Amino acid sequence: MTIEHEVKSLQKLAMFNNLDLPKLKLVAMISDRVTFQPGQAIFRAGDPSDAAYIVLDGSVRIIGDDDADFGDALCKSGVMLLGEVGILCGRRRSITIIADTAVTALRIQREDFERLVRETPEFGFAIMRELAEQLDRGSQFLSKHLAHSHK
Amino acid sequence: METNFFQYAWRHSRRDQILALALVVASLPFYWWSLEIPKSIVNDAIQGRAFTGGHTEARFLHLALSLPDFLGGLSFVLFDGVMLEQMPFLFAMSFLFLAFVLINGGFKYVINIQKGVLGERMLRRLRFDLFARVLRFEPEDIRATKPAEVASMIKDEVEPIGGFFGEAFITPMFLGAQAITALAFIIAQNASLGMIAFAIIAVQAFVIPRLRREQIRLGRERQIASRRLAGRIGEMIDAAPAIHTYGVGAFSRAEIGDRLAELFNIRLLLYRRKFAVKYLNNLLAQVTPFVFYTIGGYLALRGRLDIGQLVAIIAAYRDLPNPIKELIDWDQMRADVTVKYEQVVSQFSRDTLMPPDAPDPAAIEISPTAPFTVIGLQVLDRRGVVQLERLSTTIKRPSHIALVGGAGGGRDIFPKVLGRQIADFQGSVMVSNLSIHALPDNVASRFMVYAGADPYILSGTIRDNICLALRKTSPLLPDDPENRKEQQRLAEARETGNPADLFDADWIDYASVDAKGPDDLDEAIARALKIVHGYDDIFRLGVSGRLGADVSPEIAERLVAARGLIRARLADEGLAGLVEQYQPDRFNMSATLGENLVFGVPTEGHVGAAGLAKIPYFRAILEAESLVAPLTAIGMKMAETVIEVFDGLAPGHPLFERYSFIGPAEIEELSRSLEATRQKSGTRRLPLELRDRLIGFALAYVEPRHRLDVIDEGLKRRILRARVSFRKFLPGSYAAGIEFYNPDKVMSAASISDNLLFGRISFGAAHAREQVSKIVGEVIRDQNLESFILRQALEYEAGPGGRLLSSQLRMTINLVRAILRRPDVLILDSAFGGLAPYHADQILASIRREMQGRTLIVSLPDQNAGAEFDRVMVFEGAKLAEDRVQPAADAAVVKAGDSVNVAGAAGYAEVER
Repeated sequence: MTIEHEVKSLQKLAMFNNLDLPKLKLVAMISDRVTFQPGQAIFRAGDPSDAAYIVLDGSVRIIGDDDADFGDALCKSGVMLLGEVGILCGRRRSITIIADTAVTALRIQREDFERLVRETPEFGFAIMRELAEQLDRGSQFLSKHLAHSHK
Repeated sequence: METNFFQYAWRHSRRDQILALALVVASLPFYWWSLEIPKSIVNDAIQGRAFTGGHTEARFLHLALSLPDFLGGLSFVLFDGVMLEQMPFLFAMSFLFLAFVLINGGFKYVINIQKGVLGERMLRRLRFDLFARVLRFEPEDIRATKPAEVASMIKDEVEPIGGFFGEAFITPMFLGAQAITALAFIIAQNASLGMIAFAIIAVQAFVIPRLRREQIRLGRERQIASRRLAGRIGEMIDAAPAIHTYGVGAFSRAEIGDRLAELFNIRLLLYRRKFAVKYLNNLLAQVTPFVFYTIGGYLALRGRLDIGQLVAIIAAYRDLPNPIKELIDWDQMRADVTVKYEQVVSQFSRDTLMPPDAPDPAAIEISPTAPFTVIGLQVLDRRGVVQLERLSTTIKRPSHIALVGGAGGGRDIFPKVLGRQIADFQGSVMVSNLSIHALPDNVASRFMVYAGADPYILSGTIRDNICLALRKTSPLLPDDPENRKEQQRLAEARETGNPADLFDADWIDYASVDAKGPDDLDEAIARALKIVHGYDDIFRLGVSGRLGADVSPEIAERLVAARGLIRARLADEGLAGLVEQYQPDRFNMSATLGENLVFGVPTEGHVGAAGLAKIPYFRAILEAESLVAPLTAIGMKMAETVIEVFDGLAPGHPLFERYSFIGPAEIEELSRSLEATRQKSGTRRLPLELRDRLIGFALAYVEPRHRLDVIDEGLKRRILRARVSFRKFLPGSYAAGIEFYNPDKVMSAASISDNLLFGRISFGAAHAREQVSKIVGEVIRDQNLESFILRQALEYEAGPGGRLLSSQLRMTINLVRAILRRPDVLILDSAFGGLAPYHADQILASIRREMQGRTLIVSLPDQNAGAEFDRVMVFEGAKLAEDRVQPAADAAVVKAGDSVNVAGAAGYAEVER
């Protein structure tokens, strides 16, 4: 896989709709491509938040604080961006994420991620949109569950 | 500091000035005699007056001390002289004259030297005084000071003043004495001629400065006019399109023409004035001989004046105009320099200065339990806005206090007042009945340290910066009367009011950190680093830094041994695939093309990949293996990618670090030259220089890092072949410049990490770096290499203002210094800026354990933080809104603090970035 391939994969992600080609290239160039074996942790709760990941290929599982396996309930559309919350909030990882299949991801170091958000407004906007999307999904999930339990 | 130049000069250089003046006075009789002798040569030797009346011999060198006739004419003969005939007498007199010429020259030389030395000494003193003064500015004043201005004042503006110190007293005395001597001599020969000479000099001294004054005014006008002209021309060129659009070229030309005319007129006046002064000067100089020739000649013919006297008068007069002219020059310089001096000194004067260092700081004892008493403290900024509302409180010591509240409010102001960063406040802050503001630095710093948000990093190594906190002993002065050089240095320092302390001496107070000497200092530094959680960062810096050439064989051996151990450990844990070893017959995907090609490292640091491409031998190898074209193509592709993406990126963008082979400044220029060649002849015929640069880029290429997909099997084979021939045909002259990878030897030019792994960590495998680092850390500890690596890391250059360090490292240094100082009171004012909050919390907890039993005052960003502190002061804006004392908080911390549990080398992967 080359930068060109990665850019093509990034182009397919909804969150990066607004980024033009050079900006996508910038994202690809600033990151390292990493692969995870099935079952390997991408990060674990309590780890320092040292990087964010953009998943290009494969699927992941999220395990919450109390070892409750969320399965992919929270990420029906596929979680594309991992680990950004810890960086943005300056906290350690609050959840564990395990590679379900073989996963290929772009890893962006914390400092680089922060600079990208600050200095490339399109990227910052994409992150915001993704976060809003996650929030929306989360609240839908919750209200569905609450409605369920009320019945 | 004296505001008057002459007072300052006299007060500090009295001794030297008097010495020089004594020399001037001593030189006068010789000067007089050198005027006297020509008279005797003409009258006695040439005209033969001494040989009239049948004498064939005359007395030469008759030396007598005699009183003037009206005192009785007593005389005491020192030397009776020798009798000489006329011809020998002439020669003897002439040689005597020559001797006096030499003596006079000698005096001039010595006086000039004395003047120069004196000027330099005073310049040194003035510069040092100014610098020492800036260091005593109050914090507010320092912040308002522009460093560049102060530096240029101390460096440049003071320079001409320095030159004048030597002239201040000596020049007028010397020249004046010379002029008066000459005048007196003339008067002594003939009073009326003397009076004429005097009158002419008086005219000169009165008229010329007046003419000159006008000249100076015109000169200043000329400067202003030409500066304006330049400004207008610049403006018009900028506005050229508008001038064209409205067709007002004629108007613009008229303006410039007008300005040129003005300049011309000023210059014309200036020239007239200048040559008028010159003319007058010359006229006065020439008219006097005219008077002497006519009147003197008349008197001589009448027998009222002898020929020798006339010659002597003319000779004496020849010496007169020069001193007068120089005196006038001196006067002008005086006016100039005194104004400059006053102007500079006024820049350095403030109403209030911080107190000077106490001679014996230990004499002022401040008890570790003496509380801070704050009474009626109020801080206003310069516009009168309240920054901290009136506040009275007592801060018990020892105690741990958290200051919370919004940024910019009282939370940020209060610690600055306590930390002596704000001096302009109302009310009082006392400790041990002393106002903290009135404490000298060397007293306050003994019990209190303030660490703020902007760490001050000086250029030098990390060690220099950390040890700044320990540079507080006064090193012993080497008192070796035998050492002439040292004695001279000391004398000169005393002479100029400079410190006598040796800068290169060992200033470090080892005892304060329980160290015996430099050797166990590192242990104290390591401990402090661990407390502020900076050890891992520094350690990582050491591991990734160059090994360097001065490694003891024993360390080298351990490094090589560690290689095998690391490999074995990696294999044991099934992680062998994470490190790609250097193997002579394998292409290493995780290394650069250049490293693959050379299979070694250039030992001269500056010969990077780009430099390699310029070495003829290397180029020849590339040609022979037909690698030039593919490498150029790779370089071209890299350049194109970089130009496309980097366009418009800020120079500090992290991407530049990743593509470090190309600098932000280079991109535009590179893009232009690529464009130019493309237009001219396609990419086929690149200029050699550009081609070398592209090859240089290619040599820095790492496939999994840059991911441009440019390496295929064929290229790998060719590079491996080139590797073999590169080594085989390497000429002797280059052999010293390359260290080939050798599993049994260390590579001084490679990083410690490369040396330990003897390979590269593979890209792409998840968490490879963390896993490998963990094992490397363990092996380092087992092999006792930890202290060696720490030592290497501490030698890392911080760069001016710490520019070569990450912001996190700068913050670490700021904290380590404070911890190493072991103060009774530590004030941390937003000192964790830029850190992730969870990380800051950890560091703070660790510092709290270290500061147990001492006083810690911390400003915290989080409104709800500080639960475990003894006392929490909550500020709302400028006001203290809440003041909670939490008696129970203490116990919890003591428990946690039983052992200082901090990450060691093994954990250095923990915070891997």
